[in-house]
Amino acid sequence: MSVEFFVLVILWVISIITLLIISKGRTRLTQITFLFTQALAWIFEFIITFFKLVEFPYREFKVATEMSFSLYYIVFPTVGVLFILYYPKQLNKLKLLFYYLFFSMVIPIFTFSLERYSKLFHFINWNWTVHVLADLLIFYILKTFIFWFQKGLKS
Amino acid sequence: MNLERWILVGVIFVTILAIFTLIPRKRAREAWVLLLFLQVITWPAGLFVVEMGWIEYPIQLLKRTNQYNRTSLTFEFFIFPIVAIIFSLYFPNVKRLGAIIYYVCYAGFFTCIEVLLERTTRLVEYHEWTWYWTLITVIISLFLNHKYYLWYKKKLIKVKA
Repeated sequence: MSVEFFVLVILWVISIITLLIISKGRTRLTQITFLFTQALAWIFEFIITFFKLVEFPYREFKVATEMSFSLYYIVFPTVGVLFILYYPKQLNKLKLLFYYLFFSMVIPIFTFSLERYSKLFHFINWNWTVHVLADLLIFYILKTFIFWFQKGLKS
Repeated sequence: MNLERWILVGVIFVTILAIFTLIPRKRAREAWVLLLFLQVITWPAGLFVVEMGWIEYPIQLLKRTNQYNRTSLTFEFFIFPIVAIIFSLYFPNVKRLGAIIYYVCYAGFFTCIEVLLERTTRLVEYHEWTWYWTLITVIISLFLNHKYYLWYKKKLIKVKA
């Protein structure tokens, strides 16, 4: 059993438990957030693979694709759900900025550790700033969509 | 550009047209639920059938696609989801037999187009795959997606835009 397999199993378990805990009382909101982040995630993954910015040496479907599956199917979407769950209610601009920056840094740091200690990622032309900026944009799109969607959802 | 890509562009164009003509703006949230939930099924399923070597997509929209992803993203994340949205939004108010007929006719039409493309073009090639597998998997996907949508819809309320 390789390290990568083990890491992925743990990530699946953590993600599922997290999702189960935080969906209580807000099932539909959690699910639509999860699904929308999933869509943003595969588009993002497609772009970074297309432009050869990263490689995924260890991946679930070796023949079918060069892209990783679990990370973008469940792990990052779970982070998206957490982002919406703890989104600050009062509009303190500085606090909001830090909130966005925190989440946009968490993913690159996580990715960086995976590349460092496992074969799940391999950076070819990777740029920290671009990754953080891309994450900021993704979180902003996510927030805009969810706030719009929520208007049509019975609380 | 070869014939296959023109067909693909044509299908995408028709699908975009369908979005604007067949999906009413006031049902946008329902459409989003249908669109997004289907990827939960088609993403792993699409990868799995290609991984097993059952289906191949020799010609894709972008030229080098097969070097980094051999599943059909156009089909899984765009065409099929839009087809599924229209399927559920226009689901007739009928009893079980009527529903079965609707499922079979809808999925059957979809299967016919795929089989036609398989026979005449290089957009899709079946290896261990047959037309009835397409029919069955399309029906199962539509069924799961429709059930999820019916459950989700219970908490959706009507609002402006």
